[in-house]
Amino acid sequence: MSIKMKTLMMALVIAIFTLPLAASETPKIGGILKVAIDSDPPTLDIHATRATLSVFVAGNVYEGLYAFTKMGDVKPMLAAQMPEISKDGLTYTIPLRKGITFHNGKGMTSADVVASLNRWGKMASYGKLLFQHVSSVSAKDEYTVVIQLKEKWGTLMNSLAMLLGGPVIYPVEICEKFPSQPSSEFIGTGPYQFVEWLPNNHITLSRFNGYQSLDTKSDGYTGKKIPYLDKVMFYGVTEEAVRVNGVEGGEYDLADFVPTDEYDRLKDGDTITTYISPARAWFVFVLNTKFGPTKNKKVRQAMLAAMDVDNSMAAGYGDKAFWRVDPSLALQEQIWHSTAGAELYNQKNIQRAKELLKEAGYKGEKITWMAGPLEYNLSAAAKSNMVKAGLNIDLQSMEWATLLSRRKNPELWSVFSSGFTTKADPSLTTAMNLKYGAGWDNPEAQKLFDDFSRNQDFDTRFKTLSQFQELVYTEVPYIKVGDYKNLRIANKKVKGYTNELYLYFFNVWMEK
Amino acid sequence: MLRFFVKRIFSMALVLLVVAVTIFVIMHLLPGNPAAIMLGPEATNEEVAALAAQMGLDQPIWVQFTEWIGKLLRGDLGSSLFFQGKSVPQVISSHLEATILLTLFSLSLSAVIGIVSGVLAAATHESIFDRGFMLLTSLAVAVPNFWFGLMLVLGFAIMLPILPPAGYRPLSSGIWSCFSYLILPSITLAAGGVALIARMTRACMLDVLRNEYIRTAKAKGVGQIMVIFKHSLRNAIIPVVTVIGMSFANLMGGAVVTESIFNIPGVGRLLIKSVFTRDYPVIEGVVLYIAIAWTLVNLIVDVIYTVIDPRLEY
Repeated sequence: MSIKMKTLMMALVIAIFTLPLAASETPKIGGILKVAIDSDPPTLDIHATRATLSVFVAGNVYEGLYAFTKMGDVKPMLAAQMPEISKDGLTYTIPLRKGITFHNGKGMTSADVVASLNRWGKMASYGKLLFQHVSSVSAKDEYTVVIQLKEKWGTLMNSLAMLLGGPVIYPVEICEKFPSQPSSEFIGTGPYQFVEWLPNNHITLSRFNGYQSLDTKSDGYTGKKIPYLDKVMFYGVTEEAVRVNGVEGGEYDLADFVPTDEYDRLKDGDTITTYISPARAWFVFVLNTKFGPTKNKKVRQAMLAAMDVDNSMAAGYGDKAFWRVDPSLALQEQIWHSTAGAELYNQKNIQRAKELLKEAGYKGEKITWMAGPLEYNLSAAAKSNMVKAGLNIDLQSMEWATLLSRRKNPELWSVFSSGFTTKADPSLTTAMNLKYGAGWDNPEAQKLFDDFSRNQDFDTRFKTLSQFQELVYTEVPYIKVGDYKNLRIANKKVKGYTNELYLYFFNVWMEK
Repeated sequence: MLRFFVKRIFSMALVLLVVAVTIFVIMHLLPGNPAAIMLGPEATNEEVAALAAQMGLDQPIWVQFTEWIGKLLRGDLGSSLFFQGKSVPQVISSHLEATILLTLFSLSLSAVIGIVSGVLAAATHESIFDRGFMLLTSLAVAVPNFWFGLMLVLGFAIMLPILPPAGYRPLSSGIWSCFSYLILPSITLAAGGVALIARMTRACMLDVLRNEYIRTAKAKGVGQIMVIFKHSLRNAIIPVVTVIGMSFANLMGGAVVTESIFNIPGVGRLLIKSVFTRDYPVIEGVVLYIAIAWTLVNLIVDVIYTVIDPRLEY
């Protein structure tokens, strides 16, 4: 089929889908959407990274077997339906949708899915975690895939539906060509296809005319996805002021990570719409439980007791519209939100901290604290309270690359500041990753993690998660600070944009 | 002259080798791991170590150095760790167009305005124009270019939206399209250059204008314009050519601040980004390119001296 014919057919499909909409909201085909993001992504190979920036771009290009709705339910995407699960809970049989084509024109079959899942299981962080419990992935026939588990594993479906670092489907040829290194060819099944990446300049995606949209209602990353735009161009713009000026001056149509102190000025503008993103992550101070003064649990508890979260978040993140105080390891918007251990969160109790330090026998040993540029201010605010309690803190500001490098050696630091992103399944979050930082060797935490991961019943899992959260507040391997959101701005010509956690541009059009 | 060229090319090779080795050692002594940056801040140490091993970054530094220097001597600069496996020359060349055009535009602006106004200031020494112009050049040198650039954006891209606020369009998109994106950054960059060149031209011209042969020329009835442009400027221009040459070499290495303010994908931004991501092959490639630009421009400036002043010999 010629490209013209494909475009014509795509236009017809779009017209049919958009008939019920009111005239003023009628989507228009065409146009170029220019998006300013804060940097070039490290790679567009989703199996090879967990960087959010990669998903902002690649989330428009790739799809997995399943995807999440706004509420976090798992729905089929490239799978034809939810899996058929054997009685023993170990065999998942997944039928695939027929007629799906990759951007290179090749039809998707079970061979591509098997190769992609195996590659993901071998090289992706979340894939490795899951594949410890997977015995095999095989093709039953051309359009059926079977996942055989070694033991019951509760996170399987959530893992399959993940986008960030998730098991998106590539053609088998790509998996064979790049078996364990990041791919430099970006071919998926999504509504937009990769065109070019000019380093430090822009990444261009164009409408995939062969895209087979689901006909169910669009909901999060599931359902109807229509590529109205001719092109989506992503510009890595490192300077915040340039992102704002760029949208105000009409060079870009949408910008992410806009400085929050611009919110008051921009929110009532005639040409710009402001969006506060959903809470996407929380700031955290990771403590070293193996070396140095913070090896002592009482010292860690003293640091927690001295924490004034409101003060830290205000110092580090400005306008209250962009942050909130919440004790849970999961966000308020998630079904996993829990208040277990909340009485130990945001205590602001310097007297208690002093008592704990006395019990610890702390004699003013230096606590080396590393903070990157984004987290420095909130770390400095937290430090001031801890110093009042008697802690001797050496707060060091450093660029991320240095911090990541020094973090490898736990003997060099006692605390580092970071951010933990959220996931649909808590077992996939860094908050539950016992190997993170210096590692947290706690048999009780390990048991709770294993129970949580294995179990498939929600109520039991929720109870286990609450116990894990409580343990975090008593053992203090890290200190949760607060949830944060970011400011996005868009030209008012941008229509159909739903302000989700990740940026995506299917169902988005430009008013001419 | 031939001997001069051979000598310069030999010393250039030596300079490049020293630069290459120095930058390799410095970059590898700096803390930072490209694998950690690629995986993101939530990766565990094991994951980072596994990717670092795949990328060959777990090898002892001397093994990495031997491999790298061997490739370098064969003219192979390696591949970028971040840009989809593109070779270093490919990555650098994709940033060169913006840098070259920005350099040419801004330097032409600063050279033309700087030389003309410097000559006029010298010719009207101690006049209101001279004093006013010197005040302006002092301001131009004193004002930070990031502030000046942002003011230009505010004025000509947001309040009076006649020029794009940021970005870059390649020449292939059309001459006006490309040029329109370079006007504000070129003015930003040129401001400091104009001041420097104008002050240098003025000072050199004043020196020459005080010479006796100028007085003789005037006494013989030679007109003011001939005195200035034929008898004075040629003799005064050598230090100005040096300044222009150095500015050219400097700008070819990328104007980091201006490129960042206007989001221009030039060599300066490439270098900064590569340092932050620890993309070692690209950093080494860009620094070598800058060293080559400097040594070549020096060579060209030396040749231009002989054209301006035939008495000079090498």
